[in-house]
Amino acid sequence: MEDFKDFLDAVCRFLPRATEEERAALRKELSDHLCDHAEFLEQCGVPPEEAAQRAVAAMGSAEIIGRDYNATLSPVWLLIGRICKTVSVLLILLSVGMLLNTGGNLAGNLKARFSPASYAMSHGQMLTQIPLDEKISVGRSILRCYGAGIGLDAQSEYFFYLDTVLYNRNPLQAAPQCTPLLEVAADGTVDRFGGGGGSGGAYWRQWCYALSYGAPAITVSITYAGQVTSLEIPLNWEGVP
Amino acid sequence: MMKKICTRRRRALRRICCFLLVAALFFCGRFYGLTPRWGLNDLENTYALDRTTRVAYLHDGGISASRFSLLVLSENDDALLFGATRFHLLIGWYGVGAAVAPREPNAPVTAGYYDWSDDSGSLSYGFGCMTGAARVQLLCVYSDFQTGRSEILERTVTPDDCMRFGGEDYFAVPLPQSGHSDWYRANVLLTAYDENGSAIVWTDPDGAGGATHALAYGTSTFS
Repeated sequence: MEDFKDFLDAVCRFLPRATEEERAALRKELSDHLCDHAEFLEQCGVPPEEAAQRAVAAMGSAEIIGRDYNATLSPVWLLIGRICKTVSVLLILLSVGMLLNTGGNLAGNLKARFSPASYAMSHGQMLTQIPLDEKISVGRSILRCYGAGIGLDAQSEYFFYLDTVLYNRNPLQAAPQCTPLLEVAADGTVDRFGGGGGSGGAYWRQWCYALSYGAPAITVSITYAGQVTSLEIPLNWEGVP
Repeated sequence: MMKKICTRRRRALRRICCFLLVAALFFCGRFYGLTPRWGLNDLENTYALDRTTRVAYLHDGGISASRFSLLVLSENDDALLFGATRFHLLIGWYGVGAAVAPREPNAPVTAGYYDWSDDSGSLSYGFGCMTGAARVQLLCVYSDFQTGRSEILERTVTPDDCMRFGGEDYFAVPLPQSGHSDWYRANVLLTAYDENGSAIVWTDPDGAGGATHALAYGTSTFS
C-alpha cells in the first residue's frame, strides 16, 4: 500500500467532484488491484520493488484514470441520493415520535380493555358495587359499562352510578372526546351529575342519577344514533344505611 | 478480493428504494395524514361516528388559521358532520374540530352551525340537509353585551344554494357577520318552510316547547 501512495494521491488530485467516501473507495479499489498485480509478479520471480513499479506502470496515467472516474460522478445522482437519505431519516424520526404518541393511546386503550376499574372515579361514597361487563358499539369505538351501584352524595342523598369507559376498537387510535349521538339515561332521567377523565386512549365516565331509597332495580337506557340498549340492573339495599 | 465501486447512480437508486419502503410504512401505518380524508377520519374518531361519506370540501381562507385548511361536510345514516381539517407539515392532515348534527328519522331538515376563530377573526358556517323543506331561514341574533341592544341578520338557503348528493340537498353557507365587531352572537335560529311557505321546523330561542330540536353547534378556537 505504501508503495502505491504517490500514485493513488496523484489519481485523487483529479477527483474534484468526489466525496471523501468515494475517494476512499477508489483508493481501496486501485490499491487492491495494484497489490494483486504486484503479488502475481512477485510469484513470477520479480523482486518486490520492481514488481510494485511495474504494477503502477501497467495502470497507466494517474491523470487519465482520475479524470475518467471524475467524469462518471454525476452531481444529480448524488443530490437525489442525499435527498432520499435525509427524507427517509426524517420519516423514521417522525414515525418514532408518532409511535411514542400512539403508545400513550395504547396504554389507555389496554387499561380500558383489561382493567377498567383501576381508574378511580367517585362523586360520593360508593355503598354497593355491582360488576358489569356490557359492551356497546359507539361508532368505531366501544362504550364498556363495567360497574354500577348505589352511592351517597355529600347532601346524604342516594344516587345510582354507572361506570363506563369509552375506547377505540383500534388500540393505537385515540378514543372519542365527544359523543353527541350518545345518551345514557336511567329510569327515563338523564345524567344528574357526573364526570370522569382519562387521556387519549380511553375516557372514563361515571354517570350518576337520583335514586329513591329501596328501589328494587333501575333500567339504564344507552342510546347511540337511535339504537337503544337497555340494562335492567337489580339493586341490593342490604347493609345500606 | 476486489469489490466493484458502487456508482452514484446505484447508491441513489438503493436510497430511493429505501425511501419508498420507509414512506410506504409511514403512510400505511397511519402515521401521517396524506390527504384531507385523514383529517375527516380524525373528526369521525373524535366525535364517535361511523365512517361518513364526504359531501364536499370547501376552502375559506377568511382567518389565518384556515389558510392551510379545508372545511368538510360529510354524512352518514346517523349524522351530518361539518368541520375543519388542517395541514401540518409534520403530521399531515388532521381534524381541527367540528359540529355534529344527529339525523332524526323522517326529519325534513337536519342542520347545525360551526364556528372557527383565531386572533385574526372567525368563520361561521351553517350547514345541513334539506330532505323535505323547500327553504331554510337561518337567523343570527347578535347582541351588545353592554347596552343589551341586538340585531338579527338573516340568511336564507334555497335549493339553488345546495349541493345535490345521494339524492338529497346539502348546504354549507357562511353565516352573516355583524357589522359591530364587539357584539357577540347570542343565538342562531332555524326555520324551515315547505313549498307553500308554511313553517315546518323551527328552533325555539328559549329552548322549550315548539321546537323540533336544537341546532347542533360546534366551535374550534386557535390561540
